[in-house]
Amino acid sequence: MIEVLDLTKRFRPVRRGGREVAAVREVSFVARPGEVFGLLGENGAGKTTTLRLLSTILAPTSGTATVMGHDIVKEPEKVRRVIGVVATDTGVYDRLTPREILRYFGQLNDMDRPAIERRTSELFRRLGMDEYADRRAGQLSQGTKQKIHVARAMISDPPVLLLDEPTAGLDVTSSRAVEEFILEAKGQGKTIVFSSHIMSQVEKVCDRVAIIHQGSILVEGTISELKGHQAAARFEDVFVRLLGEGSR
Amino acid sequence: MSGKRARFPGLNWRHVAVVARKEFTDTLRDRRTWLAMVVLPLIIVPVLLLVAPTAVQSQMDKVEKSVAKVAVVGLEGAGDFLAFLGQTPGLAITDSADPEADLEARKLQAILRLPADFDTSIATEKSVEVEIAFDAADQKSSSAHDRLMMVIGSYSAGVIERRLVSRGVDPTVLRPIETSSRNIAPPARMGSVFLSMVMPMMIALWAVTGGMYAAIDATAGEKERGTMEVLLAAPPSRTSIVVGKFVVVTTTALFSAAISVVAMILAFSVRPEALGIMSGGGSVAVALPIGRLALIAVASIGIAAIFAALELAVALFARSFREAQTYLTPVSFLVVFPGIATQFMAAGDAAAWVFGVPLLNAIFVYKELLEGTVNWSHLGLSLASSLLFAFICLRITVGLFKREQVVFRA
Repeated sequence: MIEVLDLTKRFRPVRRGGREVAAVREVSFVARPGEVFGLLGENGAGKTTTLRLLSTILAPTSGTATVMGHDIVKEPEKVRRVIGVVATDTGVYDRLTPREILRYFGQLNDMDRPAIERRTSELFRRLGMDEYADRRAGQLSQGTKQKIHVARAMISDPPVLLLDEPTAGLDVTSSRAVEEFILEAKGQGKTIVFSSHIMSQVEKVCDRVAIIHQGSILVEGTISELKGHQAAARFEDVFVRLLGEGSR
Repeated sequence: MSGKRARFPGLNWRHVAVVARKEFTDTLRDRRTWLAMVVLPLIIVPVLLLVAPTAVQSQMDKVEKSVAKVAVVGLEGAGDFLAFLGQTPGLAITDSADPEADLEARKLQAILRLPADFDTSIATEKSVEVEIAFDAADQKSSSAHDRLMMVIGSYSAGVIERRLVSRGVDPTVLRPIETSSRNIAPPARMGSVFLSMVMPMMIALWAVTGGMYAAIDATAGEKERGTMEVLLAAPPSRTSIVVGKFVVVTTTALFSAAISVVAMILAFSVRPEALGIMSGGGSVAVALPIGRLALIAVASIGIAAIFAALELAVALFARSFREAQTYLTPVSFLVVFPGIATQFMAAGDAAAWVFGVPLLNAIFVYKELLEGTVNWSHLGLSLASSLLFAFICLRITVGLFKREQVVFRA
């Protein structure tokens, strides 16, 4: 369960005299267990910043959020224990193997060795990664690396997943594997926040969507609600129409 | 809340160990770490200790063994002196049509100008003026000048002695003091002096730079690969993460300093005579008992820790591996300057306050240990002050890790 309340993040100007940038403005939404909540927006809309605030690696300027009941401002350490994160442009430790990467993050989550091993082999099997488990990650394909990220985020079986464009740069097959995995996690009752700028994917994966533009949420609802609201047959049309209104 | 937690809030030693173990595995699989940590000291230290002195020596030998060509102007009036000159090894009297031009062209090493009445003036007990023309910019010519001065000096001494004897005076009246010198330094101490000049800067250099790649890899490298964000989203506090990385960088640097000492010992077991060359000849040996080697390692902990924290801080600020390298290159100069400035100082030359100044204190403690003294109060003061500085630096680094502007610097 994630409850976001008036979350705001302003970045101080890099240079003296520069303008303060409001990356996220008073964003509020609720994501429930067993639900994939989509954050849809163009590049620079504030999706990544919102997810970074939820994962506590950035601190909000004002407002707050709770993740499984833990406040991101007051209890960031507790929040980090219940989340699994896939960030945009995430890389792998090139000189470690996928197995070692999972072991590292398992230990960072205070898991014991047998639990890590059990979970690792389970994740590798489900993601079809057994073959690559003991190769140096730097030598693996982009798709396999992305699977490592998904497996890493899932190593401690966290109740919340924060996924920032988890299929960026993937081919159709790998993309589909990741999507299936997300739906599977949803079936297990996890709360998932999923950001994307790909309409078709959002339509396929998300239960509810918030369209974010220039740091603010323009509209929020289920896909069919949004379609009905805008009287559009295609979700893409809803998106474009809303952005047009939002910029006005 | 324990005292330790108050100083480093959020510190969890289990997480520190997890981060450190992973960083060790990662950095030891990086060729650049091995290059900086092991290969460079193993090459540079022997080159500095063996090849450089040997090259200097062989150059000196060459000059010494070479025969200097000297043109003598005014040969005719100096038969006796010329006979004396002719017996001197290393000098060859050479005919020259244009001695000045030949000296300029380095075909000659010196011109000796004698007055036409040289022998007559000596015989009649008059003072004779001779001129040596030479090229001070040419080593061989300078050496020829020195040899001529010596020949003239000893010929002159012979003349004086003859004159005194002819007057019935004992020549020793002109030598009221006879000096003899005796070197009481045992060969081991002679070796120590040379080592204490060369090695402190070397050990300090590797204690400081040996962990540099590990530091860059653990910060700017982590940013560049895009692994920093997910690491920071994991449960451990930033303090635990920084301390884990710090442990690895410090250890790597210490290992590197140890390798430089091993390289030094290896160099001398292969060619012990090289040490004698640099100490001005004579019998020389190296005696470094294991106890003092261990103390060198202990004395290195402080500077390794200070610079590990500083390097992590600087490299964290960088956006990429390359940028971090650019920022950190000047760090080597920080060591080289005090290293060179103190090179010819003995350990005893340091005032007490020097042992409170990081880096300088390590250099002087190394000097003491290499010279064969163990001064516990110097060692203690030096270690205490360095560890205090390291603690402050580490606090600053932890603080930087908590700043969004630094970690997500775009």
